[in-house]
Amino acid sequence: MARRELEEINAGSMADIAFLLLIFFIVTTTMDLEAGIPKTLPMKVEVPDDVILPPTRMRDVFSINVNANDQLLVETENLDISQLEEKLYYFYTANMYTPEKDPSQVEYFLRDVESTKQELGLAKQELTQDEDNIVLKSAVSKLEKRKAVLDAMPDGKFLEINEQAAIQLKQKAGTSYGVYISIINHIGKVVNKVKDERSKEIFNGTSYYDLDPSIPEDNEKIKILDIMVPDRLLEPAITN
Amino acid sequence: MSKFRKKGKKGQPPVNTAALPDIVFMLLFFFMVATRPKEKEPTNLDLQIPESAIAIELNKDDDTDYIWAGYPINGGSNALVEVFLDDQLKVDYTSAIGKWKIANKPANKEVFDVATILKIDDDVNMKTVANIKDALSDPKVKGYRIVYSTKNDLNPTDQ
Repeated sequence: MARRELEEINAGSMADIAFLLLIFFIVTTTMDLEAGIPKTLPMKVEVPDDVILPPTRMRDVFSINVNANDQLLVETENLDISQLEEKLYYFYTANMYTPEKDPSQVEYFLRDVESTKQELGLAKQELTQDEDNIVLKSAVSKLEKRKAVLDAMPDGKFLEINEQAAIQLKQKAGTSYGVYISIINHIGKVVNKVKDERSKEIFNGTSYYDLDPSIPEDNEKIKILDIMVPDRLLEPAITN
Repeated sequence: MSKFRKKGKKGQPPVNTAALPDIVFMLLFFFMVATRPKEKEPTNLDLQIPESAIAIELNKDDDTDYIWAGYPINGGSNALVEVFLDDQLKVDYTSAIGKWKIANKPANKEVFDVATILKIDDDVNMKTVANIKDALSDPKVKGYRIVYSTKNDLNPTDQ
């Protein structure tokens, strides 16, 4: 009997199978990563009637009003949304660098390690006597944050923004979501810019944009900058 | 010269396609690794996601829930906003969101751990957005972590 040669397996259709799988994956998946602006919604806290909250002064609050036609009233002026950044940047920095103070913008206070330690000691003592007092609790946590920043400062001193500083964003029921996101966007850009300036100032020229939150050392720096440049956003209930 | 001409059929020799499957498999593996499955998304919404220059790319392995809100395609000028939880249309969304968040959470996690991604159209009014946020921040639900889904703005300075 003549020995027949072994036939080769025909692999010609392998390419077709692979193409089929490839096309399936191209169709059912997407390349672009999900991107967005993460926020944590405020917790609803019941404030007991007998607790007196410290008053908020107008100069510490940067107020933005948007009406149902998406027009902006920033502090007391009608502004175009493109002018918002300049105005907000002035709010943050007016009293930070210049020797002449602008009494209409947010106030800064010079803090140092010694007095902060003393204040923190006193506040903790008071808290042990009145453990459920939420005003004292928040005072202690604020002082602890201040101490964390001071410990990172090369000269043990820093200009702290008024703890009441906040951005108030009043909206109407008819305000569009697009404008809201645009405002959030402009606020974020200004806050990042101020953080970048402070970062260069205190961390030997390191840019805020170069900090990587996955590196623990950088993450510490980011936390400190977050405390130094707070971006507390107040959103009062929407009116019609 | 005709001395060297080959005998038999003329024409090109066949191209060896044995390496073709390898190339295609390589592409296939690239797509399997570099992409993620598309979200179940409502097909009849006219969704224009706003742009942002400060958006952060989200980790694709995180647990997330999706809320979609927008106007229906071809809905006319007085169409109402439609709110979808995942891909289910919910008309009474303010009361449904809490139950949905709690029912959706993985067994080993808290509701707080699962961020809610809000995919909302540019033109939706803030009343709807505020209602969604109120329902999420209910102390009984604790869905405090939200993400405003945005497109990356390629020219941030132009804004």
